[in-house]
Amino acid sequence: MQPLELSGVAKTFTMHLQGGLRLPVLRGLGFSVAPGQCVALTGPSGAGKSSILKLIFGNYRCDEGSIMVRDGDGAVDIARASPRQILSLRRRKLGYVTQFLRAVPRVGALDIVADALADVPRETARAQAAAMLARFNVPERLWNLPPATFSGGEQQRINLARGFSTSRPPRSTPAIAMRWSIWCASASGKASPSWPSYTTIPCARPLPISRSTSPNLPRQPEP
Amino acid sequence: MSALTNEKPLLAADNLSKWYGRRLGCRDVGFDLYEGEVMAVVGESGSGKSTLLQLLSAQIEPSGGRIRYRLRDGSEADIWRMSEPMRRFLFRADWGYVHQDAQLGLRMGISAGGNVGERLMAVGWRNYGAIRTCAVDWLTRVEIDQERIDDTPRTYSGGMRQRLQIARNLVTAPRLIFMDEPTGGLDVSVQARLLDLLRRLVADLNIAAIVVTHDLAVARLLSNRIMVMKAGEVIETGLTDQVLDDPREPYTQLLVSSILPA
Repeated sequence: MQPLELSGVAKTFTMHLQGGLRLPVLRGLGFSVAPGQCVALTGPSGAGKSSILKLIFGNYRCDEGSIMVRDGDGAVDIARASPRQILSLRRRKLGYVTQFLRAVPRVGALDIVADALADVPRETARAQAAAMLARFNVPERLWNLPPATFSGGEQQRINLARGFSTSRPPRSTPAIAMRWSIWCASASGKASPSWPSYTTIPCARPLPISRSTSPNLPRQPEP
Repeated sequence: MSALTNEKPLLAADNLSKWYGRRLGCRDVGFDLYEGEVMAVVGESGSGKSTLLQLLSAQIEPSGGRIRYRLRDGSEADIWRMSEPMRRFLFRADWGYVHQDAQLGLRMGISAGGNVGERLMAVGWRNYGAIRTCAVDWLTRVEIDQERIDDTPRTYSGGMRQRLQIARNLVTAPRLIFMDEPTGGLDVSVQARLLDLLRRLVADLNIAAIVVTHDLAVARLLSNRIMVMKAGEVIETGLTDQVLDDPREPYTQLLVSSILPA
Protein backbone atom coordinates (compact mmCIF):
# COMPACT_ATOMS: atom_id res chain seq x y z
CA MET A 1 0.00 0.00 0.00
CA GLN A 2 0.95 3.67 -0.22
CA PRO A 3 2.22 5.55 2.85
CA LEU A 4 -1.14 7.30 3.02
CA GLU A 5 -4.54 6.26 1.67
CA LEU A 6 -7.83 8.00 2.39
CA SER A 7 -11.19 6.67 1.27
CA GLY A 8 -14.78 7.73 1.85
CA VAL A 9 -13.77 10.28 4.48
CA ALA A 10 -16.58 12.46 5.84
CA LYS A 11 -16.57 15.06 8.55
CA THR A 12 -19.38 17.16 9.99
CA PHE A 13 -19.14 19.50 12.96
CA THR A 14 -22.13 19.73 15.28
CA MET A 15 -22.18 22.99 17.19
CA HIS A 16 -24.19 22.28 20.33
CA LEU A 17 -23.86 25.83 21.58
CA GLN A 18 -25.49 27.11 18.37
CA GLY A 19 -28.63 25.01 18.74
CA GLY A 20 -27.08 21.88 17.27
CA LEU A 21 -26.11 23.54 14.00
CA ARG A 22 -24.49 21.01 11.67
CA LEU A 23 -21.61 22.07 9.45
CA PRO A 24 -20.72 19.47 6.84
CA VAL A 25 -17.06 20.00 5.96
CA LEU A 26 -16.03 16.95 3.94
CA ARG A 27 -17.72 14.00 2.30
CA GLY A 28 -16.58 11.19 0.03
CA LEU A 29 -12.95 12.23 0.21
CA GLY A 30 -10.42 9.75 -1.11
CA PHE A 31 -6.87 10.00 -2.35
CA SER A 32 -3.51 8.37 -1.80
CA VAL A 33 0.03 9.63 -1.62
CA ALA A 34 3.08 7.73 -2.90
CA PRO A 35 6.53 7.77 -1.27
CA GLY A 36 8.33 10.98 -2.10
CA GLN A 37 5.24 12.47 -3.63
CA CYS A 38 4.19 15.98 -2.78
CA VAL A 39 0.45 16.66 -2.95
CA ALA A 40 -1.02 20.14 -2.79
CA LEU A 41 -4.50 20.64 -1.38
CA THR A 42 -5.84 23.82 -2.88
CA GLY A 43 -9.08 25.72 -2.62
CA PRO A 44 -10.68 28.84 -1.20
CA SER A 45 -10.55 29.36 2.53
CA GLY A 46 -13.25 27.36 4.24
CA ALA A 47 -13.15 24.59 1.62
CA GLY A 48 -11.79 22.11 4.18
CA LYS A 49 -8.09 21.94 3.33
CA SER A 50 -6.85 22.26 6.87
CA SER A 51 -9.56 19.91 8.11
CA ILE A 52 -8.10 17.20 5.86
CA LEU A 53 -4.67 17.67 7.43
CA LYS A 54 -6.13 17.64 10.93
CA LEU A 55 -8.06 14.45 10.18
CA ILE A 56 -4.89 12.73 8.92
CA PHE A 57 -2.96 13.82 12.01
CA GLY A 58 -5.78 12.57 14.26
CA ASN A 59 -6.42 16.06 15.56
CA TYR A 60 -10.03 15.94 14.29
CA ARG A 61 -12.19 12.86 14.66
CA CYS A 62 -13.22 11.20 11.44
CA ASP A 63 -16.97 10.45 11.13
CA GLU A 64 -16.83 8.07 8.17
CA GLY A 65 -14.32 6.36 5.93
CA SER A 66 -10.73 5.35 6.56
CA ILE A 67 -7.37 7.06 6.79
CA MET A 68 -4.69 4.41 6.42
CA VAL A 69 -1.13 5.29 7.36
CA ARG A 70 1.46 2.66 6.54
CA ASP A 71 3.51 1.50 9.47
CA GLY A 72 6.18 -1.04 8.57
CA ASP A 73 4.48 -4.02 6.92
CA GLY A 74 1.08 -3.05 8.26
CA ALA A 75 -1.09 0.03 8.39
CA VAL A 76 -3.06 1.93 10.99
CA ASP A 77 -6.50 3.40 10.34
CA ILE A 78 -6.35 6.80 12.01
CA ALA A 79 -10.15 6.96 11.91
CA ARG A 80 -10.38 4.00 14.28
CA ALA A 81 -7.04 4.04 16.11
CA SER A 82 -6.73 4.36 19.88
CA PRO A 83 -5.12 7.47 21.34
CA ARG A 84 -2.06 5.33 22.08
CA GLN A 85 -1.72 4.18 18.49
CA ILE A 86 -2.05 7.73 17.18
CA LEU A 87 0.54 9.01 19.64
CA SER A 88 2.90 6.25 18.61
CA LEU A 89 2.43 7.12 14.93
CA ARG A 90 2.98 10.79 15.64
CA ARG A 91 6.26 10.00 17.35
CA ARG A 92 7.50 7.85 14.50
CA LYS A 93 5.65 8.60 11.28
CA LEU A 94 3.66 11.81 11.23
CA GLY A 95 4.84 15.37 11.45
CA TYR A 96 2.70 18.44 11.45
CA VAL A 97 3.70 21.97 10.64
CA THR A 98 1.22 24.61 11.64
CA GLN A 99 0.75 27.94 9.93
CA PHE A 100 2.40 29.68 12.86
CA LEU A 101 4.87 28.36 15.39
CA ARG A 102 3.08 27.61 18.65
CA ALA A 103 5.81 26.92 21.15
CA VAL A 104 5.98 26.61 24.90
CA PRO A 105 7.31 29.92 26.26
CA ARG A 106 10.90 30.02 27.53
CA VAL A 107 12.01 26.85 25.73
CA GLY A 108 14.94 27.26 23.33
CA ALA A 109 14.66 26.51 19.60
CA LEU A 110 16.91 23.45 19.80
CA ASP A 111 14.83 21.92 22.59
CA ILE A 112 11.59 22.66 20.74
CA VAL A 113 12.85 20.59 17.81
CA ALA A 114 14.39 17.93 20.08
CA ASP A 115 11.06 17.55 21.92
CA ALA A 116 9.60 16.09 18.72
CA LEU A 117 12.07 13.22 19.19
CA ALA A 118 10.76 11.95 22.49
CA ASP A 119 11.68 8.32 21.84
CA VAL A 120 15.41 8.77 21.46
CA PRO A 121 17.97 9.62 24.18
CA ARG A 122 18.11 13.34 24.89
CA GLU A 123 21.64 13.88 23.61
CA THR A 124 20.90 12.08 20.33
CA ALA A 125 17.69 14.08 19.98
CA ARG A 126 19.56 17.35 20.47
CA ALA A 127 22.21 16.32 17.94
CA GLN A 128 19.50 15.43 15.38
CA ALA A 129 17.68 18.67 16.14
CA ALA A 130 20.88 20.64 15.58
CA ALA A 131 21.39 18.93 12.21
CA MET A 132 17.80 19.73 11.24
CA LEU A 133 18.10 23.39 12.27
CA ALA A 134 21.32 23.63 10.27
CA ARG A 135 19.53 22.09 7.28
CA PHE A 136 16.93 24.85 7.51
CA ASN A 137 19.67 27.49 7.73
CA VAL A 138 18.75 28.63 11.22
CA PRO A 139 21.84 30.52 12.51
CA GLU A 140 23.54 28.65 15.35
CA ARG A 141 23.50 31.71 17.61
CA LEU A 142 19.68 31.36 17.78
CA TRP A 143 19.56 27.69 18.76
CA ASN A 144 19.43 28.18 22.50
CA LEU A 145 17.04 31.13 22.44
CA PRO A 146 13.25 30.86 22.73
CA PRO A 147 11.77 31.77 19.30
CA ALA A 148 9.23 34.29 20.64
CA THR A 149 11.45 37.18 19.49
CA PHE A 150 12.54 35.64 16.17
CA SER A 151 11.37 36.97 12.84
CA GLY A 152 8.40 35.31 11.14
CA GLY A 153 10.62 33.45 8.70
CA GLU A 154 12.95 32.21 11.42
CA GLN A 155 10.01 31.01 13.49
CA GLN A 156 8.59 29.16 10.53
CA ARG A 157 11.90 27.43 9.83
CA ILE A 158 11.97 26.18 13.41
CA ASN A 159 8.39 25.06 12.92
CA LEU A 160 9.43 23.14 9.80
CA ALA A 161 12.48 21.64 11.49
CA ARG A 162 10.21 20.35 14.24
CA GLY A 163 7.66 19.00 11.78
CA PHE A 164 10.31 17.07 9.88
CA SER A 165 11.81 15.55 13.02
CA THR A 166 10.60 12.06 13.85
CA SER A 167 12.42 9.43 15.83
CA ARG A 168 13.05 7.22 12.81
CA PRO A 169 15.54 7.95 10.06
CA PRO A 170 14.07 9.79 7.05
CA ARG A 171 14.21 6.64 4.91
CA SER A 172 11.14 5.26 6.65
CA THR A 173 8.95 7.78 4.78
CA PRO A 174 6.86 9.57 7.34
CA ALA A 175 3.87 11.42 6.02
CA ILE A 176 4.16 15.09 6.73
CA ALA A 177 1.04 17.13 6.85
CA MET A 178 1.70 20.80 6.76
CA ARG A 179 0.00 24.04 6.28
CA TRP A 180 2.00 26.02 3.86
CA SER A 181 2.02 29.72 3.31
CA ILE A 182 3.91 31.69 0.70
CA TRP A 183 6.84 32.88 2.71
CA CYS A 184 7.41 29.60 4.44
CA ALA A 185 7.53 27.86 1.07
CA SER A 186 10.25 30.20 -0.07
CA ALA A 187 12.13 29.93 3.21
CA SER A 188 12.20 26.17 3.12
CA GLY A 189 12.89 26.14 -0.60
CA LYS A 190 16.16 27.86 0.12
CA ALA A 191 17.01 25.54 2.92
CA SER A 192 16.03 22.17 1.58
CA PRO A 193 16.54 21.51 -2.10
CA SER A 194 14.87 18.11 -1.90
CA TRP A 195 13.23 15.79 0.58
CA PRO A 196 13.25 12.60 -1.45
CA SER A 197 12.22 10.30 1.34
CA TYR A 198 9.33 12.25 2.81
CA THR A 199 5.74 12.18 1.73
CA THR A 200 4.49 15.71 2.06
CA ILE A 201 1.09 17.29 1.80
CA PRO A 202 1.58 21.01 1.70
CA CYS A 203 -1.71 22.77 2.08
CA ALA A 204 -1.37 25.64 -0.33
CA ARG A 205 -3.58 28.64 -0.53
CA PRO A 206 -2.27 30.60 -3.47
CA LEU A 207 -2.81 27.84 -6.07
CA PRO A 208 -5.84 27.15 -8.32
CA ILE A 209 -9.12 26.19 -6.75
CA SER A 210 -10.45 22.66 -6.39
CA ARG A 211 -13.23 21.89 -3.97
CA SER A 212 -12.39 19.45 -1.26
CA THR A 213 -15.80 17.78 -1.49
CA SER A 214 -15.02 16.68 -5.06
CA PRO A 215 -11.34 16.05 -4.76
CA ASN A 216 -9.53 16.21 -8.04
CA LEU A 217 -6.32 16.96 -6.24
CA PRO A 218 -3.48 18.18 -8.40
CA ARG A 219 -0.43 15.98 -8.10
CA GLN A 220 3.13 16.91 -8.59
CA PRO A 221 5.57 14.40 -10.04
CA GLU A 222 8.51 13.45 -7.87
CA PRO A 223 11.20 16.10 -7.87
CA MET B 1 2.04 -2.22 16.40
CA SER B 2 2.78 -5.56 18.02
CA ALA B 3 4.86 -3.93 20.72
CA LEU B 4 1.87 -1.79 21.57
CA THR B 5 -0.67 -4.59 21.74
CA ASN B 6 1.52 -6.82 23.88
CA GLU B 7 2.19 -4.16 26.47
CA LYS B 8 -0.02 -4.23 29.55
CA PRO B 9 -1.44 -1.17 31.28
CA LEU B 10 0.26 0.14 34.41
CA LEU B 11 -3.01 1.15 36.01
CA ALA B 12 -6.47 -0.02 35.01
CA ALA B 13 -9.76 1.19 36.46
CA ASP B 14 -12.96 -0.80 35.88
CA ASN B 15 -16.41 0.61 36.65
CA LEU B 16 -15.08 2.66 39.51
CA SER B 17 -17.79 4.33 41.62
CA LYS B 18 -17.92 6.25 44.86
CA TRP B 19 -20.99 7.24 46.82
CA TYR B 20 -20.91 9.44 49.91
CA GLY B 21 -24.13 8.12 51.44
CA ARG B 22 -26.69 9.02 48.78
CA ARG B 23 -24.54 11.67 47.16
CA LEU B 24 -22.60 10.63 44.09
CA GLY B 25 -18.83 11.18 43.98
CA CYS B 26 -18.22 9.49 40.66
CA ARG B 27 -19.76 6.64 38.71
CA ASP B 28 -18.59 3.88 36.36
CA VAL B 29 -15.20 5.31 35.53
CA GLY B 30 -13.00 3.01 33.46
CA PHE B 31 -9.69 3.51 31.65
CA ASP B 32 -6.24 2.01 31.06
CA LEU B 33 -3.11 4.03 31.71
CA TYR B 34 0.19 2.88 30.24
CA GLU B 35 3.75 3.60 31.31
CA GLY B 36 4.85 7.10 30.39
CA GLU B 37 1.33 8.30 29.54
CA VAL B 38 0.01 11.53 31.00
CA MET B 39 -3.75 11.73 31.38
CA ALA B 40 -5.60 14.88 32.38
CA VAL B 41 -8.95 14.79 34.16
CA VAL B 42 -10.86 18.01 33.57
CA GLY B 43 -14.23 19.34 34.65
CA GLU B 44 -15.66 22.07 36.87
CA SER B 45 -15.64 21.99 40.68
CA GLY B 46 -17.86 19.23 41.98
CA SER B 47 -17.60 17.15 38.81
CA GLY B 48 -15.97 14.29 40.73
CA LYS B 49 -12.41 14.70 39.49
CA SER B 50 -10.81 15.00 42.92
CA THR B 51 -12.85 12.07 44.22
CA LEU B 52 -11.56 10.05 41.28
CA LEU B 53 -7.95 11.00 42.03
CA GLN B 54 -8.33 9.95 45.66
CA LEU B 55 -9.89 6.66 44.56
CA LEU B 56 -7.12 5.94 42.07
CA SER B 57 -4.39 6.70 44.60
CA ALA B 58 -6.08 4.36 47.10
CA GLN B 59 -6.75 7.11 49.63
CA ILE B 60 -10.45 6.30 49.73
CA GLU B 61 -12.08 2.95 49.13
CA PRO B 62 -14.43 2.67 46.14
CA SER B 63 -18.12 1.79 46.59
CA GLY B 64 -17.87 -0.31 43.44
CA GLY B 65 -15.47 -1.38 40.74
CA ARG B 66 -11.79 -2.12 40.98
CA ILE B 67 -8.32 -0.78 40.30
CA ARG B 68 -5.56 -2.99 39.00
CA TYR B 69 -1.90 -2.03 39.14
CA ARG B 70 1.06 -3.74 37.49
CA LEU B 71 3.86 -4.19 40.00
CA ARG B 72 7.54 -3.90 39.15
CA ASP B 73 7.85 -7.69 38.86
CA GLY B 74 5.25 -7.57 36.05
CA SER B 75 2.44 -9.17 38.04
CA GLU B 76 -0.91 -7.44 38.32
CA ALA B 77 -2.49 -6.67 41.69
CA ASP B 78 -5.94 -5.51 42.74
CA ILE B 79 -5.30 -2.43 44.87
CA TRP B 80 -8.00 -3.26 47.41
CA ARG B 81 -7.09 -6.94 47.66
CA MET B 82 -3.50 -6.35 48.62
CA SER B 83 -2.41 -5.91 52.23
CA GLU B 84 -2.48 -2.48 53.85
CA PRO B 85 1.35 -2.39 54.26
CA MET B 86 1.71 -3.22 50.56
CA ARG B 87 -0.63 -0.38 49.60
CA ARG B 88 1.30 1.98 51.84
CA PHE B 89 4.56 0.84 50.32
CA LEU B 90 3.21 1.63 46.85
CA PHE B 91 2.17 5.07 47.99
CA ARG B 92 5.58 5.72 49.57
CA ALA B 93 7.80 4.41 46.83
CA ASP B 94 6.15 3.58 43.53
CA TRP B 95 3.69 6.47 43.42
CA GLY B 96 3.86 10.19 43.97
CA TYR B 97 1.08 12.56 44.94
CA VAL B 98 1.40 16.29 44.30
CA HIS B 99 -1.16 18.28 46.25
CA GLN B 100 -2.49 21.64 45.15
CA ASP B 101 -1.64 22.94 48.61
CA ALA B 102 2.07 22.23 49.15
CA GLN B 103 1.53 22.31 52.93
CA LEU B 104 -0.40 19.03 52.61
CA GLY B 105 2.44 17.37 50.72
CA LEU B 106 5.37 18.67 52.76
CA ARG B 107 6.47 18.59 56.38
CA MET B 108 6.58 22.28 57.05
CA GLY B 109 8.67 21.97 60.23
CA ILE B 110 11.63 20.05 58.81
CA SER B 111 14.30 21.17 56.35
CA ALA B 112 13.98 20.95 52.57
CA GLY B 113 16.72 18.30 52.54
CA GLY B 114 14.83 16.39 55.23
CA ASN B 115 11.65 16.53 53.18
CA VAL B 116 13.39 14.90 50.24
CA GLY B 117 15.47 12.51 52.39
CA GLU B 118 12.46 11.23 54.30
CA ARG B 119 11.03 9.54 51.20
CA LEU B 120 14.40 7.87 50.60
CA MET B 121 14.58 6.61 54.18
CA ALA B 122 11.07 5.20 53.75
CA VAL B 123 12.40 2.97 50.98
CA GLY B 124 15.37 1.80 53.02
CA TRP B 125 18.15 4.34 52.48
CA ARG B 126 20.26 4.63 55.63
CA ASN B 127 23.54 6.30 54.61
CA TYR B 128 23.31 9.98 55.58
CA GLY B 129 25.91 11.12 53.05
CA ALA B 130 24.18 9.35 50.17
CA ILE B 131 20.79 10.73 51.19
CA ARG B 132 22.17 14.26 51.38
CA THR B 133 23.91 13.98 48.00
CA CYS B 134 20.70 12.70 46.44
CA ALA B 135 18.68 15.50 48.08
CA VAL B 136 21.07 18.14 46.74
CA ASP B 137 20.82 16.59 43.29
CA TRP B 138 17.04 16.74 43.37
CA LEU B 139 16.88 20.28 44.70
CA THR B 140 19.11 21.28 41.77
CA ARG B 141 16.86 19.47 39.33
CA VAL B 142 13.84 21.42 40.54
CA GLU B 143 15.87 24.64 40.36
CA ILE B 144 16.17 25.25 44.12
CA ASP B 145 19.49 26.76 45.20
CA GLN B 146 21.31 24.14 47.29
CA GLU B 147 22.18 26.80 49.85
CA ARG B 148 18.53 26.60 50.88
CA ILE B 149 18.73 22.87 51.71
CA ASP B 150 18.67 23.37 55.48
CA ASP B 151 15.83 25.90 55.48
CA THR B 152 12.29 24.76 56.21
CA PRO B 153 9.62 25.13 53.52
CA ARG B 154 7.98 27.79 55.73
CA THR B 155 10.64 30.18 54.44
CA TYR B 156 9.96 29.21 50.80
CA SER B 157 7.74 31.02 48.29
CA GLY B 158 4.66 29.28 46.87
CA GLY B 159 6.44 28.28 43.66
CA MET B 160 9.48 26.94 45.55
CA ARG B 161 7.26 24.91 47.88
CA GLN B 162 5.58 23.36 44.89
CA ARG B 163 8.94 22.52 43.32
CA LEU B 164 10.14 21.03 46.59
CA GLN B 165 7.00 18.92 46.73
CA ILE B 166 7.80 17.63 43.26
CA ALA B 167 11.39 16.78 44.28
CA ARG B 168 10.10 14.94 47.36
CA ASN B 169 7.76 12.91 45.17
CA LEU B 170 10.17 12.08 42.37
CA VAL B 171 13.22 11.18 44.46
CA THR B 172 12.14 7.54 44.80
CA ALA B 173 11.77 7.24 40.99
CA PRO B 174 8.04 6.51 41.10
CA ARG B 175 6.34 4.98 38.07
CA LEU B 176 3.07 6.82 38.58
CA ILE B 177 2.37 10.28 39.86
CA PHE B 178 -0.96 11.84 40.81
CA MET B 179 -1.29 15.61 40.59
CA ASP B 180 -4.21 17.59 41.97
CA GLU B 181 -4.28 21.08 40.41
CA PRO B 182 -0.45 21.26 40.55
CA THR B 183 -0.31 24.91 39.44
CA GLY B 184 -3.44 26.15 41.21
CA GLY B 185 -2.95 29.30 43.25
CA LEU B 186 0.39 30.28 41.68
CA ASP B 187 1.25 33.45 39.74
CA VAL B 188 1.18 33.04 35.97
CA SER B 189 4.97 33.32 35.56
CA VAL B 190 5.57 30.85 38.40
CA GLN B 191 2.96 28.55 36.87
CA ALA B 192 4.72 28.60 33.51
CA ARG B 193 8.06 27.70 35.09
CA LEU B 194 6.52 24.87 37.09
CA LEU B 195 4.72 23.48 34.04
CA ASP B 196 7.99 23.50 32.07
CA LEU B 197 9.69 21.63 34.85
CA LEU B 198 6.90 19.06 35.25
CA ARG B 199 6.67 18.46 31.53
CA ARG B 200 10.42 17.90 31.24
CA LEU B 201 10.74 15.66 34.32
CA VAL B 202 7.74 13.50 33.45
CA ALA B 203 9.08 13.00 29.90
CA ASP B 204 12.70 12.38 30.95
CA LEU B 205 11.80 9.88 33.65
CA ASN B 206 9.04 8.23 31.57
CA ILE B 207 6.58 8.52 34.46
CA ALA B 208 2.88 7.91 34.00
CA ALA B 209 0.80 10.71 35.45
CA ILE B 210 -2.81 11.55 36.17
CA VAL B 211 -3.36 15.30 36.41
CA VAL B 212 -6.57 16.76 37.76
CA THR B 213 -7.09 20.32 36.60
CA HIS B 214 -9.83 22.77 35.76
CA ASP B 215 -7.35 24.62 33.53
CA LEU B 216 -7.54 23.37 29.95
CA ALA B 217 -4.24 25.09 29.08
CA VAL B 218 -2.50 23.00 31.75
CA ALA B 219 -4.14 19.88 30.34
CA ARG B 220 -3.00 20.76 26.82
CA LEU B 221 0.57 21.39 27.91
CA LEU B 222 1.05 18.38 30.17
CA SER B 223 -1.15 15.56 28.95
CA ASN B 224 -1.41 13.19 25.98
CA ARG B 225 -4.92 12.06 26.84
CA ILE B 226 -7.88 13.67 28.50
CA MET B 227 -11.03 12.65 30.36
CA VAL B 228 -13.85 15.18 30.72
CA MET B 229 -16.06 14.75 33.79
CA LYS B 230 -19.44 16.18 34.57
CA ALA B 231 -21.67 15.44 37.57
CA GLY B 232 -19.59 12.42 38.58
CA GLU B 233 -19.43 10.78 35.16
CA VAL B 234 -16.90 10.70 32.35
CA ILE B 235 -18.61 12.24 29.35
CA GLU B 236 -15.80 12.38 26.80
CA THR B 237 -12.30 10.91 26.39
CA GLY B 238 -9.60 10.94 23.73
CA LEU B 239 -6.33 12.49 22.68
CA THR B 240 -5.94 15.83 24.43
CA ASP B 241 -5.60 17.93 21.28
CA GLN B 242 -8.47 16.03 19.63
CA VAL B 243 -10.90 16.59 22.49
CA LEU B 244 -9.91 20.25 22.86
CA ASP B 245 -9.88 21.05 19.11
CA ASP B 246 -12.84 18.89 18.08
CA PRO B 247 -14.99 18.55 21.21
CA ARG B 248 -18.02 16.36 20.68
CA GLU B 249 -20.18 16.72 23.78
CA PRO B 250 -22.19 19.89 24.46
CA TYR B 251 -20.55 20.29 27.87
CA THR B 252 -17.01 19.90 26.45
CA GLN B 253 -17.83 22.45 23.75
CA LEU B 254 -18.98 24.80 26.48
CA LEU B 255 -15.76 24.27 28.48
CA VAL B 256 -13.55 24.84 25.45
CA SER B 257 -15.47 27.90 24.28
CA SER B 258 -15.32 29.43 27.75
CA ILE B 259 -11.55 29.98 27.57
CA LEU B 260 -10.60 33.60 27.16
CA PRO B 261 -8.16 34.08 24.29
CA ALA B 262 -4.71 35.10 25.54
